[in-house]
Amino acid sequence: MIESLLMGIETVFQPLNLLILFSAVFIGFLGGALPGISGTMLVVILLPITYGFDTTSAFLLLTAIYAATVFSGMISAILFRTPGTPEAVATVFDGYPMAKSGHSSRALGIAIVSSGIGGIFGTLVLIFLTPVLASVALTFSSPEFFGLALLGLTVVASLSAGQLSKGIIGVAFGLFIATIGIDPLSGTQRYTFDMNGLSAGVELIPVLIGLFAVAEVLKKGRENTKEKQEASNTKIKIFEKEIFKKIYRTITRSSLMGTFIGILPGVGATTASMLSYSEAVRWSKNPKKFGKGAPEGIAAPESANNSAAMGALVPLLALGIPGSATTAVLIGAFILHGLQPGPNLLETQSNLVYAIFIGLLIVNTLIIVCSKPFIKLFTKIMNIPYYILGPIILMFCIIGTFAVRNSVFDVWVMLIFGALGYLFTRINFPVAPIVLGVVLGPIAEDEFRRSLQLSGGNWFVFFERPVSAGLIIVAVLFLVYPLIKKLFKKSKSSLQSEAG
Amino acid sequence: MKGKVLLLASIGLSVFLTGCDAVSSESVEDYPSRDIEILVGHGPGGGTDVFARTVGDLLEEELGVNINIVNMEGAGGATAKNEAGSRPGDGYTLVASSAFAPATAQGNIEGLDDLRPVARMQSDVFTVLANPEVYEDFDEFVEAAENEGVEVGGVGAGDMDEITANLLIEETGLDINYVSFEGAGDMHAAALGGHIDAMMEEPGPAVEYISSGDLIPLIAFNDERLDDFEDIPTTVEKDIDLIDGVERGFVAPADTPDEIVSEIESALQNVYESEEYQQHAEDQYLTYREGWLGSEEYEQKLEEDIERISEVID
Repeated sequence: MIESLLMGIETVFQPLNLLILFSAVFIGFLGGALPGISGTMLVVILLPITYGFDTTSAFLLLTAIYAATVFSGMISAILFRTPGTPEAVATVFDGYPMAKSGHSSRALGIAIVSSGIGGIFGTLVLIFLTPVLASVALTFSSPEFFGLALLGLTVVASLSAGQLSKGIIGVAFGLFIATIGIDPLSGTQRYTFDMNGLSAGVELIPVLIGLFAVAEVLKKGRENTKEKQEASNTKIKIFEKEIFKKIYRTITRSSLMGTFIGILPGVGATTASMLSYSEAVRWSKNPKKFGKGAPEGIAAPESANNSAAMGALVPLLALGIPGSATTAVLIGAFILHGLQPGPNLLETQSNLVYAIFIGLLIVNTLIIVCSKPFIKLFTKIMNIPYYILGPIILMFCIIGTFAVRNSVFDVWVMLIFGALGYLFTRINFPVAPIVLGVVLGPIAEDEFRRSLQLSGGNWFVFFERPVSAGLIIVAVLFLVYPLIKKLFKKSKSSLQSEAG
Repeated sequence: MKGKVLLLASIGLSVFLTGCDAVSSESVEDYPSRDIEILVGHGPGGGTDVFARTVGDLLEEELGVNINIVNMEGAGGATAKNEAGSRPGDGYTLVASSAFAPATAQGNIEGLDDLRPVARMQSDVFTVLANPEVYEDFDEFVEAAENEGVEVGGVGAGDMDEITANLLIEETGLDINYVSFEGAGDMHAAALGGHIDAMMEEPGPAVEYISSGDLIPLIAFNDERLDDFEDIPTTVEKDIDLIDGVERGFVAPADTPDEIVSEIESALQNVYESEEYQQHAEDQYLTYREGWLGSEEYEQKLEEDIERISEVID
């Protein structure tokens, strides 16, 4: 292993490969920051170019781009409430409020540190534990996935900013949106009204861009935009000791969580960042500050999505199974380069695999080092008056949404959700629970039904397996606990009043 | 006022119509004179996507124009086919097609009313794969299915995997519980993790698991034994009348003129016979059956399949 690592270092430090890594980071930064241009798309676009490269250089390029886009999705999420990649959606929840209150440089700094640590942690796990963890991931079956999604959904209470009933309505709405389209388990059309666009389901990215970015452009259009946004000239401080003291626990927990969720087949970095945001809220002593610019609320999703992106490579390299959408594209890339990813890849292509490992380690370091000048460029954009910037953001949203799967229908979906999102902000309806429902809905529903398919309709399947039983019981407890607490308080106060 | 509008409209219409005419008469002779789009109904990285990209690359050289692969993921490939059906049949839109017959039988696409076949290039063989420590061979699998029932995974709902599994149940009377997965990756994970007893899959995508010893094919849906798996029985020798598999080819909007279809068809045939493509097919274990069917034979085959599968679904 040490030998392979040294070989990897030797390969990666060839001038050409270093150049490739640098350009990949730059391309990834740019793509990730633009809404709609995700890592998946960039890898697909650049794949034909890599045919001319040798395999190692090709995969250094593709994996580095993948890592860099997951990182830079947060830039536009924090500055413009526009998640540049779906992975950055949870970063909007606290990143944008913090930036809005004049601390955009601090928000970006927290995101950079958390992303960097998450990414490096994920890569180290990838290097040293890939074979072990891949087999652990295989023990997860449908009931466990359902338990995990259910646990994530129960956090709705803390995401709804004290308005529990609105939060529950929001989650239900999100879950409903997730059911639209051809049902993957039975092939039945659901809520499609014979429209070709709807039969493919409502894509996540148009919903996110609509609810956040477009809604914000509409909202700002009503505001007095003459006031200059400050913060654009303040220096980005990547490392602030006091802040770091506050968030290092969150970073540690979220990096661990993110890596593990990323390793699970079929669950990607978007879900990981949502779930670890939820857990950050749950574990916090002061959950009410989330959604208003809490540093932990940026640290949690950012360390989770970057570590999950690395974790998703574990099943890919150890078993040939994609851990997420982008890794599915990487599998295709392997095949088109004449390689077959599978359980033997670590042995037969160890030079390639270890070069990828080292490349990722360098990329995650480069992310911390290079992001500052890049983000500075981006914050300069904030100096542009909003009556010019707003339409430009809107234009990028439209192009980006169209590009996801070349569908004009998706653009309409995005605009409709933009109008909805605007309406929601007007009536003070929390948007985060909707996103929670849309992201976790498909996992929860499909895995629930697949569990029952697997067990032949036996409901005990969820409780026969220790991990799923544990997850579900904890989820139910979290749901019931606030109600019991309320009841308890009530009876106590009524007792007191009786006594009085 | 009304007259003016009418006049303007008729001028506009006639300009539009002459424009169309000019384009179509020009394009049949000069075809191809601009970029061609190949729509893929599945996400990048999957079997159909890899097929489209491999062929698209070689087809570029044959036709001398750029070919853009456009992923229109959704509804088991139906989205892309419906989109193509609504586009003009000028030869500049093609669909890399798989699961054409089941999607038609299910009513998710208009089938041969909307699209016309150009050529089939791949005809893959289904196998049932399982962990060798659980079932040593097909007979043990049958025994287990008769005694306690088995869970068999497949990709998609109502697609070829499920239809074949249902046909297998119908033919053999075995107690098979079909479990559908959204992607091949999830299914492979479930099979490797022992959460399903067996899975429906072609040898190509599973070959690494076979060579690592994690999985073995129990039976091949073919009339002859497969070259690399001489010990594996076939459905035909077990008296099961099923030789299905995944078929991939190209279809075009139904109103694409014959001249253009035959031009693309012969270009595809050159691609099919090229050394590069044959090497790819061999690497992906796609050479057990002849893949090539010209437009007429492909259309006939699809008609038969649609009829047969519609009966199963009803």
